[in-house]
Amino acid sequence: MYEPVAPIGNAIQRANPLVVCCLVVCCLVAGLFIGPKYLLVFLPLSALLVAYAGYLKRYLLLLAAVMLPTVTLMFVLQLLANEGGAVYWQWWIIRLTEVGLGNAIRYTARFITIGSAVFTIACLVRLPRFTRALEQWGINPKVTYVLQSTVLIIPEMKKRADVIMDAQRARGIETDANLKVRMKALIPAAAPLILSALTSVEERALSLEARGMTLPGKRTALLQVPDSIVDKVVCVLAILACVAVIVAIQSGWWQP
Amino acid sequence: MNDTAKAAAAIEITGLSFTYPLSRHPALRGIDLTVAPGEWVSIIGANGAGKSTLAQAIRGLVPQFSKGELDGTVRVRGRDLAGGSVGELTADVGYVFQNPFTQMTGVATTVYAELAYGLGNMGVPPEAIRSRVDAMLEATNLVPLAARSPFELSGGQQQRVALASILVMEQPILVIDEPTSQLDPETTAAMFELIATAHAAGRTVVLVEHKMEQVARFSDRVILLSDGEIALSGTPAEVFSNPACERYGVRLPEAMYLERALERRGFVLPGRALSVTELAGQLQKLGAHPVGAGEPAEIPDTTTVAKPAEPEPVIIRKPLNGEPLVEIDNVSFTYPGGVEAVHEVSLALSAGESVAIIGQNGAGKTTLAKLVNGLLRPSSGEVRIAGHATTEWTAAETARRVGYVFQNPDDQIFNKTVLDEVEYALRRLGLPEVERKRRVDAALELTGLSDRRSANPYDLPLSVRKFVTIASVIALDTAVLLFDEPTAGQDLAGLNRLIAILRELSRRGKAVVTITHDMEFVSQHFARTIVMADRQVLADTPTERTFYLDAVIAKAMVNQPAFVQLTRHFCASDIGLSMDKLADVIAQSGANTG
Amino acid sequence: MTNKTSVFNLMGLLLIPVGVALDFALGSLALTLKLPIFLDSVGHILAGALGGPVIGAVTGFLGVMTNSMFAADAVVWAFQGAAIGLVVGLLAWTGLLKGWPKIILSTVIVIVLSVAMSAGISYVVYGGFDGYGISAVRAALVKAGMSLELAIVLTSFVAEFIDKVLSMAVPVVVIGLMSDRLLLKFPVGPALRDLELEPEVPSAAPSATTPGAGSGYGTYGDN
Repeated sequence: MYEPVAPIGNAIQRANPLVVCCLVVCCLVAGLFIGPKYLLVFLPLSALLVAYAGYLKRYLLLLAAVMLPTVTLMFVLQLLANEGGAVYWQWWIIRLTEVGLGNAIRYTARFITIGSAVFTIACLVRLPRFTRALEQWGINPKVTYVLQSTVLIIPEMKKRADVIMDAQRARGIETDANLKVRMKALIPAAAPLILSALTSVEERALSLEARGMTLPGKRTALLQVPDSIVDKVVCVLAILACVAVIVAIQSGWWQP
Repeated sequence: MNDTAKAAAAIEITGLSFTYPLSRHPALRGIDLTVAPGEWVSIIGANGAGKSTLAQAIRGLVPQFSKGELDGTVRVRGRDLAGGSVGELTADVGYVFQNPFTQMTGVATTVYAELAYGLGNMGVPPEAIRSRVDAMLEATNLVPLAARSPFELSGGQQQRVALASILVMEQPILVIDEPTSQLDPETTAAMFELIATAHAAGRTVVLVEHKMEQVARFSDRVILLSDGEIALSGTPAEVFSNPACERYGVRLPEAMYLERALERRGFVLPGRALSVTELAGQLQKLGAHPVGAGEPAEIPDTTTVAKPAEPEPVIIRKPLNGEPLVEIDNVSFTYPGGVEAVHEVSLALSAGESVAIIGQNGAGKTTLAKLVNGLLRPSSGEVRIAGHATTEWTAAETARRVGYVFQNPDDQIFNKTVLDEVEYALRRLGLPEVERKRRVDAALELTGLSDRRSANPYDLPLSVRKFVTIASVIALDTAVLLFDEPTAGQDLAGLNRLIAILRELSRRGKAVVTITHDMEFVSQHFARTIVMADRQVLADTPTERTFYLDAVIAKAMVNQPAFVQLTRHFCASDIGLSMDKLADVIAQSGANTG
Repeated sequence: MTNKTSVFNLMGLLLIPVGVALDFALGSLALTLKLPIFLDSVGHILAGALGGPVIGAVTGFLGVMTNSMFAADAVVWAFQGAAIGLVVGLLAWTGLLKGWPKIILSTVIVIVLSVAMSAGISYVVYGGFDGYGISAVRAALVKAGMSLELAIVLTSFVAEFIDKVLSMAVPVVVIGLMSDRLLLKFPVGPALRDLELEPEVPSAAPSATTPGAGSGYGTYGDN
């Protein structure tokens, strides 16, 4: 009655997050073997899927804001630092060569292949559903606990770091003067944070104990992620396809 | 107790002794304790007496979690804990403790999921989880918070969620270790209502608590621990009326101090009185008549007294005497997010003056302290220390003039020994060794830590750690000192220590501001009290008047001290906090002195 | 006995989220204090030292993953974090974090490892030019005639040295500040120091002394 329920989404939002992850990771692995051309397929495809799930704006923003600067720098450096083969263009010490361009394309494509897979998962998969799906597939709840609590504890730790910084200023420890003074503030600011975090480990263990985390026996949960035999079949097929691509390329049967 | 009752005991402890690793002294020695199903047993005693260790032993956490040497047996519902796993006990014993933050599991993104987590671990079917969580949210008034993230809640809200998360698991036995030491009076009352409801539904309660009014009101039996042993045991009336009680470092319910003071003035009461209601009843038996004779004014057992509105009180902003040392001049403060936390506050304080600031959590007390200390800069208005605006200095420079003891000592403590901790800031200031030693020794002496100087602060109980931070601030020898909730979790020895410290600081001419939720403490030891509510100062008056400002007290949602409740019962006008005047009034109303 | 082990596991397990969060918090602390270092491996080094190799490796992997939100390829660098956590865990476990000479040796090992990992990852995955600031220096060195391999190792060393010295120093200092009793609660804690029975405290018994003449607590009637 009072349960906060997420709105029912479309097919992709409802899909088993492990299947989504499995498919994307299989694409990623195959993509690393296929090379730059893979992106011509994966980028539009992933954009389409993400758009269907309603997160296209976020996906494009991540690609542009987070990846573009690194990609640009990497491309330029690869282009300039590697030399060999035909020279396309030359000015002063700058020389664009066949090897340089080849490396630039190869390595930036590799970077984009990894990054676009990560961002696709980030856009399509929500952590609570992901961890719940892991549990449904028989993963120990302690493992999923670690994944989930990590995300929730980080902002808390940041808040505590700020409070402790204030508390140390309040006893006269300068934090904004020259580098030497700021270096000296490191231990007073870091040590209480770490010590109290370690002390709290014990208390949190006690409270998890109190909530039955180590209780033997069957567990239940409110959140149920759709999980059919089809999901598992899809995953197995994806992995087989991925292996097939790798074998094909490595054996020289397919040269992308 | 006969054999059948014994067999059915909820908890049965025989000959329990326990020693922590690396420790020379046992934390518990030869404890024998049997708790009947449905009984409410409260464990009291000075800090370090072994209360929490006993609570953890019942929950099986000692020795399975906190290792050490254990002798004797602990049986819960007939099962010997030595055999089973600590996890299995989850179904029998619910456990709630002091720190609200660490009781949030860290996996739930909503309060609703937080409550559901334990039930999921117990394997309760989803539909049953939903109905139980819904019912518990309603019973604990947490419905409005259901969709919020547990980590966004205030400490008081988190503690209520922690208790609800355990209550929903419906274990027959509840072990609750100082659930309210970090909470304001209103939330404390709400917590006890919840525990009392669970007890009324038949659950066994083992409570560790310092708030003796609550212990006296709710307990069937009180166990007083001293140095790991059961020193006293009996009904609340038996234990609290035993003169040895205070010797063991336990504070009494406030009504008993009043009773004792009245007895000194010749009123020999026919029986014991643990609450103001009972005390008033006893006095009526002596013939005293309450105001508006016939229908006695109702005295609530706890919390706020709402009375018809009075004219607004006069707010004095000047020190009670002397030139101002601290001047807060029409200060407002808005946090970067746009939330205003302090609104047009003005007050002044002279050297040697000690004032209390009271009010609910969120009233703006701590923000005001941070403005005085220079951690925050006023959005408008000005704070002046000895005539200088704090904006002239960096936060660290202001801190050399205004010492601030944070509410949570763990925000400040990091050195390996108490001595290093107290000396640390002095070293940073570059003081010569002789001067450092003199100041540190004096500060340790005043805070009672002289023989703990080589202890690691994190090995000391939280209540003692608080004195470590107090010592390190006192050693700075600032002209102004701010104390944020120094009374939280303190036992009688700690409170007395604190009183001595405040008195000594005044004697040295320091201006001292104390933020606290302990109204009895305020009414007894401060000449001037500032009441804050909703970002503003509601009243700034001599303390003997403060608690009679009914409209102010109601709006600020603070407790009226027992003394004032009793006075209100027998006398219409305010007579300050003078026991002599109260005794006169009671005598005039017809009571016979013995 | 099995119960004790499982509870012990819980302490180790809970070190992981705390270690990851400390990676983040210390990283942002270095930013707040405007220090020219990252400090974002303090958390997993600490987790490795207190929780052992497995806890350290998992914390290192997750720590780098979650804290490098501005690196699309964090997953690649996460292996460096995992390796550091693992090795620090092994060092702690075998008693190599006890006593200053061993600690210095361990620090050298960690520096060598982290240079090897960052240089190795950069070389294997991106041919040495990974698109982060330091690889621009690398490109300049190569342009100036240095061999690619040497340029990678040299720049990685410069980038890692001070950061890893401090990232080892902070956990070592903080572990030194921990009491024996707290240290004992963590899986590898006893291997980090010779634990001793606590010294005799003069009087453990509480005394409810009143604060001198006059009013102590609850002394109505003296006003």
